[in-house]
Amino acid sequence: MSEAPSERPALEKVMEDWAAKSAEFWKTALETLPKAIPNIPATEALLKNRYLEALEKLLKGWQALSATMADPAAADAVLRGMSTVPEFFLRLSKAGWEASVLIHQKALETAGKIGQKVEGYRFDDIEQELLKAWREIYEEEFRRYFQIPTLGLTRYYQERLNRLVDQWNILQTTVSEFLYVLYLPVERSFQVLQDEVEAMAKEGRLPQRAKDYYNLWVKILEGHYMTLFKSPEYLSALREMLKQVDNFSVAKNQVLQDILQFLPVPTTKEMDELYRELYQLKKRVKELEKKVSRLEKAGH
Amino acid sequence: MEQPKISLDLILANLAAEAEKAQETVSRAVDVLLGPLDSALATTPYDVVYQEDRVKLKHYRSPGGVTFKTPLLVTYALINRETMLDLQPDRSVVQTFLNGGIDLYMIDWGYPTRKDRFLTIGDHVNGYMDNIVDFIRERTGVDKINLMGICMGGTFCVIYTALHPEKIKNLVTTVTPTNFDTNQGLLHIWMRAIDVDHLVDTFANLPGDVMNIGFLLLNPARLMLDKYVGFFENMANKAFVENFVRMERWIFDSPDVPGETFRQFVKDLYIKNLLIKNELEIDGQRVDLRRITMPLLNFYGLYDHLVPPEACSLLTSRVGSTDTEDIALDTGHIGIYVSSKSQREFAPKIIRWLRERDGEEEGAVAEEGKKEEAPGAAPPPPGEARAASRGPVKKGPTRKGVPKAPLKKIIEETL
Repeated sequence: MSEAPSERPALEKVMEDWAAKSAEFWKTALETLPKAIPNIPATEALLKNRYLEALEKLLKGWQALSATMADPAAADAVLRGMSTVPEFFLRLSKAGWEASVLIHQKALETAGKIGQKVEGYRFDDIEQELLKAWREIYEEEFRRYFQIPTLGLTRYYQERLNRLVDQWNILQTTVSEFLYVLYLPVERSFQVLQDEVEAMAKEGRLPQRAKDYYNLWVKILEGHYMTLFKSPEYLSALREMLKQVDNFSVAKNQVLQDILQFLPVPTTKEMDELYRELYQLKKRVKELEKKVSRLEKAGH
Repeated sequence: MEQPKISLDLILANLAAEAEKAQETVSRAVDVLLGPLDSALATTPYDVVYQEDRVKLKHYRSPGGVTFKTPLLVTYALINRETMLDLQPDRSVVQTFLNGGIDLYMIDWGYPTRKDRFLTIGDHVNGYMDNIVDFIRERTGVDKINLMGICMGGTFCVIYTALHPEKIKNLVTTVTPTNFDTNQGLLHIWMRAIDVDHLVDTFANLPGDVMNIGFLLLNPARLMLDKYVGFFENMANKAFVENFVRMERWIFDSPDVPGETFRQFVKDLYIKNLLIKNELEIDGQRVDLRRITMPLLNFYGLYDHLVPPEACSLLTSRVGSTDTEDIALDTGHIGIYVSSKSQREFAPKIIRWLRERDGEEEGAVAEEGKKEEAPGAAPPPPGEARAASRGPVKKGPTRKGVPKAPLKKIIEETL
């Protein structure tokens, strides 16, 4: 950015004049200041003097600055420095922009992987594929953000909070997958019902009551569920669901534990320790009671 | 293409008629649902005669007097509540027992809280149950009592009887799982698939609602859908609604199961199947089924989807007793206690069976128990135990190996 050469001397002159007047003003202010303070008590005076001292230093600073600025060479240097400010901001914003672009680029790359996870032109298991893809993407890409090392005094609290959000996200996906597995028999049962009704229609023995259709459908549905519930796929989904429910509960309890610690109530962990001790103590007392009773009976 | 023979007019006419019928049902149902309903359950009067922690012992008041010499202790499961045995006056096993002259006691396990999470099977069997049995023996002045177990409570009774045979005169097991190595029931498959350690470590106790979801998933088409369709169809029928609500109240009244007990039950029984193999250890004592030498009556349901017949039927062949009987009823897990048909078959049969054995001298059985109690003495092998118990103990023909008694005969005898 070039400057008009004719503007520089005028600006310098203005700056010099302003600095000279300013230095003069601060000098006068500095000289007149003690006179404005009336007689005051010793302790108060001491206090006031501290303020006066600070004010005096400040005014002297301004005076020195103004005096320096009155020197044409110094003013020129300052003006030159000021001309670099836009460049400084430009570099700063450029760095910020590049970081932002990088994050967006990463996010776009991550989103792009969604497309890679689903096979093209395959719609048979589209919902299941989608759930699986989302889960994989979440675990491989997004989950890492919740695992960034936390720092500082509150690092452990932050870590537990991150874990809770992470487990909540995983639980949502797992529940969706499990519900999808549970929905499959419903979908299939309608298909089978349609086939059976078609076959019955051809044979001319179509049920006339709505309840008959319902009974037929429930029977088919029941059969599909029985088959599903014994399948390894269902057992695996069940196991995974229970595992993620457990994991979420643990994460939730840990965060609640942190909150409870700030309240005047015992935490679950503390209560469990107490329960264990109580259990062991009661068991020992009961055993001793029985022994005493037996000894008493033997004594008689 | 062949034209389907569909009488469309007829179908549409039927649909319209059904819609009108449904509308009529709904309008009548409003009166039923908004009016007073008697859905109270477990109304038979009782006294709490013993209490330890959360566990209570109910002693039922007998209106017609007690005619049995030996009291009967009923042990329910830790899952759901014992109120099922007294669901309603005309379908109450409790009332049938009382009318039959039984001196009836029942364990109410209560509602475990987090502080009960460390309680094991041993604490229930050798702790609460043993204290209760001692209490009844002392209160009634008998050396031995009759013991009846239901489902998981039956498993507890089998374990208890094997550990304390000297205190039990007759044992009745109903829908009691003892052989867990079966794929007949979904519960058996699922229990082996879950990570019980993870579950118990997280929840402390197994929440009742988690169990309820599991039970509903055993047959969602029937239990989550068809059941309520049935309710909708019959909701104008007051008696039906009352029974339905009563059953709903019972089904969803599910206490939590103490965590360590659940862990042990799944690992030692569902996964390792230790009980039927005589390898289960409770509080350091091995549970040997051959020590069960007293008469044993074993009921199970042929259509039980929770505890399938295969899980129940092995018991009688593994115990030391020669007086055993298996009865397979044509019903399911709950139907055995609450169906009107079972009201005629189930409880009356138990009364008759116990009465037949109530007047017997205890000498032989007691001696047998003492012999087995001798310190360091190994329990006799099944064959020897049977031989030793023959004669004075069993007056009638030994039922072991005899085909199951036909139901018709049972009904005739009972009625």
